[in-house]
Amino acid sequence: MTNNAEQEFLQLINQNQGIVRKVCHLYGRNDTDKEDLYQEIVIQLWKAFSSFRGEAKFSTWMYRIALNTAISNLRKQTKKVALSFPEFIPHENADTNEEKIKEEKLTEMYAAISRLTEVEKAIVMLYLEDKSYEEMEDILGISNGTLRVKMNRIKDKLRSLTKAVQYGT
Amino acid sequence: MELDQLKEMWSDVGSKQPGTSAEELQGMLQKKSQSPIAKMKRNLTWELVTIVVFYSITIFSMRNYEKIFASFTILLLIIGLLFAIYFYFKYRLLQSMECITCEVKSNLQMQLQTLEKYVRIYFVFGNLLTPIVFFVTGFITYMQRDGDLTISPLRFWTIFSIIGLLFSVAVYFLNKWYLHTLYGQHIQKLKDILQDMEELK
Repeated sequence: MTNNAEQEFLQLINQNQGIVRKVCHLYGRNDTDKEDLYQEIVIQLWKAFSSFRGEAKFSTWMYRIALNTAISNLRKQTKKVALSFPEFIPHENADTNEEKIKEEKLTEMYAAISRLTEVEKAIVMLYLEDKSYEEMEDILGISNGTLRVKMNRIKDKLRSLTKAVQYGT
Repeated sequence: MELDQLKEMWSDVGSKQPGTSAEELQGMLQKKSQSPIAKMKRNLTWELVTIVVFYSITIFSMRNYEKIFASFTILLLIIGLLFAIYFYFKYRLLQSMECITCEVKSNLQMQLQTLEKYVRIYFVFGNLLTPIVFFVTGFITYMQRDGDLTISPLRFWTIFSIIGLLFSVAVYFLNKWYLHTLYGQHIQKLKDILQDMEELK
């Protein structure tokens, strides 16, 4: 590919790094794993870049590649590892009681998400990204109806998982 | 805590992390993919290189044995032709194994179907090539040493066939175990993910 294409690609990736970071955050088991996954996604995006013709939104195209890479990489996972504490939680400033409770609850929610399956994590991520069910269908290929049912079940599952985390089960 | 409460803070995930610089990104573009399919493609290339090197060494070392050189050339041609067909099929399947820009579900379905075909080809060719090579070698040996055999032809072929049969059975189980070790877990994981995508009990 030409240097121009490379520059254009790097610029687009720079603008949309958040998408790749979030996928790595959900699917990576530790920092090294997240970095490896990040690199792999960038390589796959670059390899596919010449075929991007703007028919789909760049973000949709990026989500597809990032999730396809994260899910089908199928690295050996002997046990579920809890996701690391998300850096957006101001845990060092959690002075008030209210903040501390909020922090604990967020940690529980994060631990619960890490116990979901690969597919459930993808649905949760797109939900958190505020994607419509139509967009989710376009990215994942799961029908709208199935996605709605699955989303309700995931919410129930997360509720029971956060309770399990609270009671240490 | 509900998922919707996390949604409010989700947009900030990763934003406090320093972004990857343009130089680092550029460096990543030069690296090799570590995806399972990329590794399979590299393995296939190595298989091809090994065969070519093996062929070259064999032909080079056989050039002084005029008596059997012609027969071995025929043997190598037969095996070479079978290998060429085998590599062609495997290469074509690897090229069509994934569609990274497609919807996740259709990409996984494509991967599963193609990988199952790939394993079948691997298995069938592996099991066919072994007895073919074995019996062609036996036939050539027999033709070359026809006059100096110390045992009767019937005895020679009986012993040879029994060894060939035992060898083929052993290779069959070895192939089965090897393919399961290489791809069994991968195929099962793909099936589980696809079932998770479809399941609505």
